[in-house]
Amino acid sequence: MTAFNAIWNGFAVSFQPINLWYTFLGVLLGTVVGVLPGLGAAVGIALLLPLTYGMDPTSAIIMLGGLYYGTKYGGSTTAILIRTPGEASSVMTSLDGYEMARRGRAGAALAVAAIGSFIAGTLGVLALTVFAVPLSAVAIKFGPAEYFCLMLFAMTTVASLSGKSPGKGLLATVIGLILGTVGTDLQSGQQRYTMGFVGLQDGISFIVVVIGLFAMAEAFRGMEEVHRGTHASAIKLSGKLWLTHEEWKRAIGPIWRGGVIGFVIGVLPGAGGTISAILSYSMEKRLSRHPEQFGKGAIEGVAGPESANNADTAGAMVPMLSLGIPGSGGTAVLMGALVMYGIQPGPALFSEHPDLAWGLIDSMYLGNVMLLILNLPLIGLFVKLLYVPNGILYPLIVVLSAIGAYGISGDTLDLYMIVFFGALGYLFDKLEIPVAPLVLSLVLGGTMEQSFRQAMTISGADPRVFASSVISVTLLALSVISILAPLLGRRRRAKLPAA
Amino acid sequence: MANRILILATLAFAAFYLYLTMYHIRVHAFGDPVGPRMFPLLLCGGLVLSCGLMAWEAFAAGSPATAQDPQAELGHPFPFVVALLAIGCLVYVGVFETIGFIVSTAAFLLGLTTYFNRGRHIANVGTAVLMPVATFLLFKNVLDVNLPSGILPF
Repeated sequence: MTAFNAIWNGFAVSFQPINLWYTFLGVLLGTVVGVLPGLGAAVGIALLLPLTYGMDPTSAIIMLGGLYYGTKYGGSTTAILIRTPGEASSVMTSLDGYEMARRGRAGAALAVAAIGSFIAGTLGVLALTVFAVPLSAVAIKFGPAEYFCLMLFAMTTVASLSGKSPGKGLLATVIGLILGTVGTDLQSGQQRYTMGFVGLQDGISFIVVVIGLFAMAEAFRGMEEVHRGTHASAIKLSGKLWLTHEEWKRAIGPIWRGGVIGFVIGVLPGAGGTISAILSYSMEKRLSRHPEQFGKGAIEGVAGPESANNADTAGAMVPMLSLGIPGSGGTAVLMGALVMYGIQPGPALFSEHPDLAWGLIDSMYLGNVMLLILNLPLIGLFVKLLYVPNGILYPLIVVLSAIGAYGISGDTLDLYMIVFFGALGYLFDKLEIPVAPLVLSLVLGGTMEQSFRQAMTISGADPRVFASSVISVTLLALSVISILAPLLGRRRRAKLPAA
Repeated sequence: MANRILILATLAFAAFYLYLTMYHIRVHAFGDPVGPRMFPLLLCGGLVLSCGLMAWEAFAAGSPATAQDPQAELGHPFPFVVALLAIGCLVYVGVFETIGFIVSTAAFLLGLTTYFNRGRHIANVGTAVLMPVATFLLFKNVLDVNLPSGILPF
């Protein structure tokens, strides 16, 4: 099948009425999840996943994909109106977006966030369309040893880029891999670390871990803030949702630049929307003729980062679909969903499941249009969610988490586990241990171990197999550099004399 | 201080994981040459490596007095509220199947909203009653997901 035919068939799949409905449902739920502070794409996908078990996998993935990039649109709303990013990647938007809102320009901030997200998001999907298949052709040359090294590189990059401490990032990564060893060993059939619990024989569900670490932990944090009286209240939205001519002129450049930055950074495993938003903000501040306005309501400070974090979602899809390596926490959970449906992302995805792969990609064009419509004229509806008292919102999150966990298999062990992982997530937050590396390694851990054992089996237990090709040696070297570089940089900065 | 405790706790966990790996996972003569123990042993090494990195970061940051320690200067007391919340959640999930989703959720929501949304009794009672009933009906009749009825007769 030629590339053009595949893309055309993808549109045929995504335009089916049922898939149009699921695209709309996904982006709608994604916007809602994005608006609710602290939840994010990973939680939304994890909570929705058990409800999709009976669905056609293509429709389910289209809906979950819509939820994934829909959260980026919704995340800007809380960032602008209460200075609390609804999604981690909206953290830069909260700097200037909130200041714009304080000056009565909330409508303009929300409008530029939505329009910038649409333009950059669509650009990102175009780039995804162009690059996904060629990258998967390269990945076909990967054997088990190369795959193991690639996953090692992805994990070390995530560990060093997430949070402030590569050591803590590595700790989270290893804990995720350890959680992945719980259950029945595929080769020997032995039970590992199940402690006699029948419910653990199939391993620890990544949905349970994600619900606990994200949703439950956020509920604990939120209720602690309510108890202390430190939670923020939302600025009331007033005025038109549109930009002046001057604001348009200032915003269009950052939107295009943010789109490019976001896509390129999104392709890198572990970089994520937050880093692309930070890089975009830094670039716009350097390029601006009035850098002193940044942090005080500069529209470039909203347009650039919001565009970057939306283009980033398409970029993160490239390694996920082509290599089977998630580029972010959200794509890690999305990939977990694909695996649950028995579909292995990677080089063979486009040849074995072209309808699903291209149906998903082409549905993103439609999803971006739907999100623009939802987030401009209908933004007032979503903003009302922010006026729900936190004292009601966070208990509801706990209940929704319990429903999501119970819906997996009807096992109360999962309910206890979400409370445990919720406490763990709360503790991680206090100790500044990033959670994204844990989720990524939990999703990849099983495949990583299988690649490791396959490579060792092929080589007759000779570990030199991991240094037998240029690809694997390069990836191993990059893994070491990704961990050491931040540490050495920090040590060098500590030795510099104080200004 | 918190970082030091974290490093020690991680080392203790690594030792525990090593014990479980060596004494509870058997290696057979057949099967792949690596066996089910090798990867977990590598992960033990990863835990130790992460402790080494964290210790290096603390050393590179300077003296313990100037090193960045999470919560070091914030002076937050022990989070009793979060501990009580966790216990409350455990009680909730403990009775989830026994007394049923609707009753357990209504009681759980009423308790939490009464404390965290004080003074708004109508909203709190409305949320505590309507949310579990509506969710139960939605999941059972529309999504075909069974939530436990418990002591209720349906």
